[in-house]
Amino acid sequence: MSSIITSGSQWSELFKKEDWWSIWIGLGLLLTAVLFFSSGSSIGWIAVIPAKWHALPDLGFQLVANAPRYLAQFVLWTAMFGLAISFLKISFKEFFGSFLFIYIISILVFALGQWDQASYYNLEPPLVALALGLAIANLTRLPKWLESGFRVEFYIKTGIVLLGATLPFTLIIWAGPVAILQASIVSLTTFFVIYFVGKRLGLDRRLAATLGAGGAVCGVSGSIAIAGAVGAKKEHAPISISIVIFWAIVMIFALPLISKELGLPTGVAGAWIGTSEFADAAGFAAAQTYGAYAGHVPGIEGSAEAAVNAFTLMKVIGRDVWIGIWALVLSIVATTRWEETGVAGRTNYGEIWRRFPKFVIGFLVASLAVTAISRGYDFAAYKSNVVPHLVDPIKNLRTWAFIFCFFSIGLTTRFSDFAKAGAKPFYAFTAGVVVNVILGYILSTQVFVDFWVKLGQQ
Amino acid sequence: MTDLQELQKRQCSNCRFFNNNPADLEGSMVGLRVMGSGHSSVVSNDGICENLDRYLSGRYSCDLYEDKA
Repeated sequence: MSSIITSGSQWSELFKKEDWWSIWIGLGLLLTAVLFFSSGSSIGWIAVIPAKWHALPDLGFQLVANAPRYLAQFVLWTAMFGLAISFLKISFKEFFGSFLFIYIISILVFALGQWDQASYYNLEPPLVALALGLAIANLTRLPKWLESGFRVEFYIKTGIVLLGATLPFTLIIWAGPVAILQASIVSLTTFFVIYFVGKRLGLDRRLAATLGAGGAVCGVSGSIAIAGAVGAKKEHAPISISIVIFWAIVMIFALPLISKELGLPTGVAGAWIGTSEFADAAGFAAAQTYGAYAGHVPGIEGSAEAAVNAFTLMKVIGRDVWIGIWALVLSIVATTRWEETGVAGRTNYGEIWRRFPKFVIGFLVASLAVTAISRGYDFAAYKSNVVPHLVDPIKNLRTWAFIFCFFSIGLTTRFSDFAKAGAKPFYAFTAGVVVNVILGYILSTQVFVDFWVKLGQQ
Repeated sequence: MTDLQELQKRQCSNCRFFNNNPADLEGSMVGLRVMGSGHSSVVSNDGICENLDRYLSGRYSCDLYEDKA
């Protein structure tokens, strides 16, 4: 049963959803950066990051020398995230203590990644932050209040909006269609493999669809969106989420490692990770890790940014933005063709917008804005002026947001807490993982390889 | 009240059995906070029906509807 209902005002969402807050924070930072840049200055002072170092005394000296900058940056992040957190009805007092903990550890993780021997020992910040967080979460018992600042999605969405400022809009236009084509092939195949294997194993259709969306579209967000759209049983979403997280964490380590062994160019590896990782946060950890190999590991071609750019195009543009359409279609199918559950569906096309991952708007606006600003400069002036005074500080802040995210993934992943998924859902999802990884590899390294290699050289 | 308004009024989001508080969702759905969020746009106004034990859109409705107090 379905009928049409017009939706009421959605304006309150502008301050109630973290997607919108990631836009306000990301674009607010960008606007500030542009204003400083326009007046001949830069936000570089506050966008401080640890510099490369060789010996511990060097590191100690630079951290002490830049202490006021780190303090100012901490205040800035706390003010922005804290304001948002308050609107999301999370205790600011608890968030403050939690974020202080995250920020201090993030400085240490970031600094470790800047050690000139870090690549030799595989001490890339995303992996170190994740591993450290996992160790803390699973070997100790953190107080409940400390969890207030572990907002994985909020940090990654803010980072993605800032990433837009460093990704030319022309590149999105050029690469977007291929990313959408490749992602669509893999998404549809993965969904139907998981769904039909799940059905074959006797799973409830709604659970099979929830699992399928988790593997095909956007991981935890895909699972939760489709579970709600189809009216799944209460336990279905946690089952799917647990399996998604398990495989997402496996892939954070596996995909960069395998790509490294195969010597894949950064653009190609980024496209593969974007096709075959299951969650944005996990994928950025893998892509940023692989990007760091460029220039440090012999045989890996392409720029460091290419891995993250290709991943973003594939995952965000190719997969994430379609979640609303998946939800609309599956909610119609669930209410008209699947077994009755006692509830009546009220589906309309507004579903596409309601579930649209709004942070993508911020990502596109940021990209468009910086691309427009850059048009006024020739290539030499762009490299000598725009990049160091506008783009690099934004990139630094983006890297901070990603490290907060990677550390928070580890801190929130307590394996003992996860739902007992059961063998059948695990087998169904794993069948999709196998197909997804193989198909993603073939499309990235064979079918569209020239395209992704070229992207890595830009 | 028109039929449409009546339908809107009786949707799950206005029912006393329905809970879509993001903090409660994150508390009851283990793992949601790890790589997702109860405050995310994709969650829309979904919530848990304590009567039917289902996670569903706040725009659904059923015969067991009861007004919030």
